[in-house]
Amino acid sequence: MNRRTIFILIASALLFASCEKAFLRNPEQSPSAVFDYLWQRVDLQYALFDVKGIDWDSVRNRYAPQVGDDISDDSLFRVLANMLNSLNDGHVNIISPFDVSRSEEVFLQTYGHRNIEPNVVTLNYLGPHYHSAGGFAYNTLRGDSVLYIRYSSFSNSASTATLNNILKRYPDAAGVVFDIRQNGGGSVENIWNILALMPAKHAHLYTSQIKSGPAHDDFSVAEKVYSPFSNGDYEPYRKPFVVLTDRGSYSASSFFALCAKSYDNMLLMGDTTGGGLGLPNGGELPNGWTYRFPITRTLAPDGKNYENGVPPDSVVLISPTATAQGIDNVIESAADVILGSR
Amino acid sequence: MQHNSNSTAIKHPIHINPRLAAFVACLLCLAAADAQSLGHPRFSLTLGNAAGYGVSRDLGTSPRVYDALSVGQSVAFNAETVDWTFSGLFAARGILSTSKIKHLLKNGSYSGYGGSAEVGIAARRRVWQNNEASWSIAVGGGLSNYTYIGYAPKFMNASFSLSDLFQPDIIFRVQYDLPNSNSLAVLPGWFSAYASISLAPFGLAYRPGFSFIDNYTGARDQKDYLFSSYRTSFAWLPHLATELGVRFNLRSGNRIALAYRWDYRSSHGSGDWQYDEVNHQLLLEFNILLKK
Repeated sequence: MNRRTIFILIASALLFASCEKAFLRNPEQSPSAVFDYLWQRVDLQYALFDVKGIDWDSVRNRYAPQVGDDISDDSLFRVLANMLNSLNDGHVNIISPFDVSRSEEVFLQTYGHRNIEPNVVTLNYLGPHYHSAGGFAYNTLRGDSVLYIRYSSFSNSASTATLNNILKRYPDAAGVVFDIRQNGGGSVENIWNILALMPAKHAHLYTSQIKSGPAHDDFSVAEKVYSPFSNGDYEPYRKPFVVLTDRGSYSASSFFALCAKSYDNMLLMGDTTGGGLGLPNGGELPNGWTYRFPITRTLAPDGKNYENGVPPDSVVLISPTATAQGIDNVIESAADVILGSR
Repeated sequence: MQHNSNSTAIKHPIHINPRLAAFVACLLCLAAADAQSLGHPRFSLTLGNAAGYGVSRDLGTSPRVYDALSVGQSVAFNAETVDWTFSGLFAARGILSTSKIKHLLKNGSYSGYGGSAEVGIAARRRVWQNNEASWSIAVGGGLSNYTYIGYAPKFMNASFSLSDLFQPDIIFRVQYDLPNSNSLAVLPGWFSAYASISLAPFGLAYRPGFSFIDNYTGARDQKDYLFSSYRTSFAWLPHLATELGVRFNLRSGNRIALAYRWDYRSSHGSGDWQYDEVNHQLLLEFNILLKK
């Protein structure tokens, strides 16, 4: 072994130190590259093409010609947003430093098919002396015989202990009207906190699958999700628990509605939820903008996919006449059911 | 979000395989037996400190390459004879990643944190020595597990990613020692210089079915998916490292080493889930003699 050989070995050690640019390079950031990258990410990972009946290839053919390399950031954002809008999915967004895209259809169905008049609820059902704890606003109806709880967002805290305290405060109430109309979702953890108070049983609530391959129908093994247990700390609530929903009940609200179908004392009333049962995932584009879209699909125990909305057990639509009189006929119908069940 | 590199939001357990431990114990016994006929074995502890700059990328979350500042700590237990060196290593490193380092230096802004841990065992054998010039070449191998967990709060509420590599390493080392009058002594003269190349020709890479959690909408389900929908792949050349260093062998039997290390690691895999990291590091190591 001579010194020349050893020198070559040492030089080899140094050589690699200059080669990292070959290993890691920033991606091309042209508008067309960004477009192609986003289209491909959705094609590979979006979980809901089939249930929504979307031809993603034709979407590409429609929008790719609109992207030239001299396009402005604003125009590129608009093209990408329009492309994603084809998915009709409230969990699909592209985020730039100057704007966030959203689904036009979900926006219109949320605000255009509202099955609640917030002022009527606030003035005549919660009133100036309403109570609040955690994320819940509540009061009683029909002479304290029905407990009304308004939960406006699953982003708000919904601890088991807080809800239990509320329920224990009205031991003579015949049941609960739990209002999640126009509740756009939030943390799924709050679903389990609420359901922990319901009568415990090993109920199959839903099945979830994650996208696991490049084909549109490549999914992982189904994961069954079962009802939570309260570990004995709380007395289960066995009285009627009527959940009010509408098209603005999205994401976690839809999950909650789907879970409610597995509980004997829970009843869904109102309008079909907005859907949004896919869990979002996302990433970053070559130009630094970020995106998200669902990569899971959720199936009911009977195998149905309620991505487009969970139907209520009892359809009750708001009456303009009743609203004009300061009456929320959906809440009144729920109270009738609770009191009729005594 | 920048590709996820962020501090450890969830601790990842480090498992020591009992079979590996038994394997190391056998090698140590062999070395001890070997040492009895060739001189005194040397047991030592190496404490390493590293600081460096590099770049990293986590495909599947972002195609972008991010600058990374890294610091690291390592602990290795070594058993040396004249011809053999056995080591058990634990190393941990933290990374701050940002789109441009100057932003980090200017106002402390950052895009994310990453943390990695490595556990490994290695064995090297001196295969050639020129007693006159004190050159030696050693070859060896080892097994290591490298886990990277990233967390980026900037990215859509939160982002989380995990990459794991299990790999065998092949190590080549060239060393020059000032000659020692006792050719059978484990300790060389007061100065050594060395160059080494370590490569893992293949490895087993693990990645979950997704590399991002929108923790705003559902933590429980996605935590479940993290460990139930993982994918593994057989990765070629997941790790390549070169090191140039000088070592001062103190009269007390302890050693101090200063080295430059270039380190490249990749999980490979399909195009949408690949983790790459390149680091330039300066190492300062203290080798403490435990038993001679």
